[in-house]
Amino acid sequence: MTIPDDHLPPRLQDALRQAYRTNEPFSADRDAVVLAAFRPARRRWIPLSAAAGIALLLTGGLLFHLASSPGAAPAYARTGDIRDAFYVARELAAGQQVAGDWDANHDGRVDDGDVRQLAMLAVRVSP
Amino acid sequence: MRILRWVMVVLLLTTLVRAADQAAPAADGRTTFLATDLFLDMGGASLGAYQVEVNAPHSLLVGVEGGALAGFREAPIYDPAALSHGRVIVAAFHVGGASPQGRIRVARLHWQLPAGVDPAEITARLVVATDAAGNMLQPTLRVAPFAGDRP
Repeated sequence: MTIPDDHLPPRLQDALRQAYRTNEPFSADRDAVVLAAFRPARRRWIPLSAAAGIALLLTGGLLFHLASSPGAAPAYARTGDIRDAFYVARELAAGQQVAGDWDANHDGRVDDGDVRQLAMLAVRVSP
Repeated sequence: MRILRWVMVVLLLTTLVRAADQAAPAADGRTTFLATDLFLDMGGASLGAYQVEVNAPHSLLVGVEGGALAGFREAPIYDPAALSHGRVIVAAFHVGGASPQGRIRVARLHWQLPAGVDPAEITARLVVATDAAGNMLQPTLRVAPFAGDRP
């Protein structure tokens, strides 16, 4: 909480001013020295920040290009329904490399057996 | 040995008679059989995959057939455990070649209905349908009693 100066007794105000009075007045030269010392450091950050920004833009652009190029496989998230089997069947039919985590029957490869397994999981009614 | 053979024959005949008694419609009409068709109206979109859940709380599923058009003629995928129960999930997909459009009969289900069961109790819910590229679609699903041979 800030207490305005005029709420303090005049004697206390004087005592405080005396206690914090500086013997050496700040000169304009000192300001110039401080500013001169600070400016080069600030200038060093400008090209570094610009380079980081450009690198970020280039990386983002590259990722966007890879994701949107015609040959790229679109991201697919498991649904647990027939779309999973359909997705793997389409990828296999297109000759695409299918990620190993689609090895539903755990035989070490992703093939039609996994498509059947995923389809059966989708329609399962027994517990 | 001969006695054992006769025992096996009697057991086999008993099993067959019991199975026939359960499966065939009773003469007094206690049990009826009904086939229901599942139709998807795709409009202008082409069907790539579908999944439908069918419920018939007081009926028993006794058979599943495929649809009428290329790509969906084979019997859809279903859990054999659904046979002799009142709930089944059927699904199928088609990869490669032209996918059918318009109103498509995707499956035919055969039911055994005990006496007094209304066929209207058989209901279906579309779980998912996509086009050939896997994009989601919202076709209209209809369940209709099989009304003779027509696509």
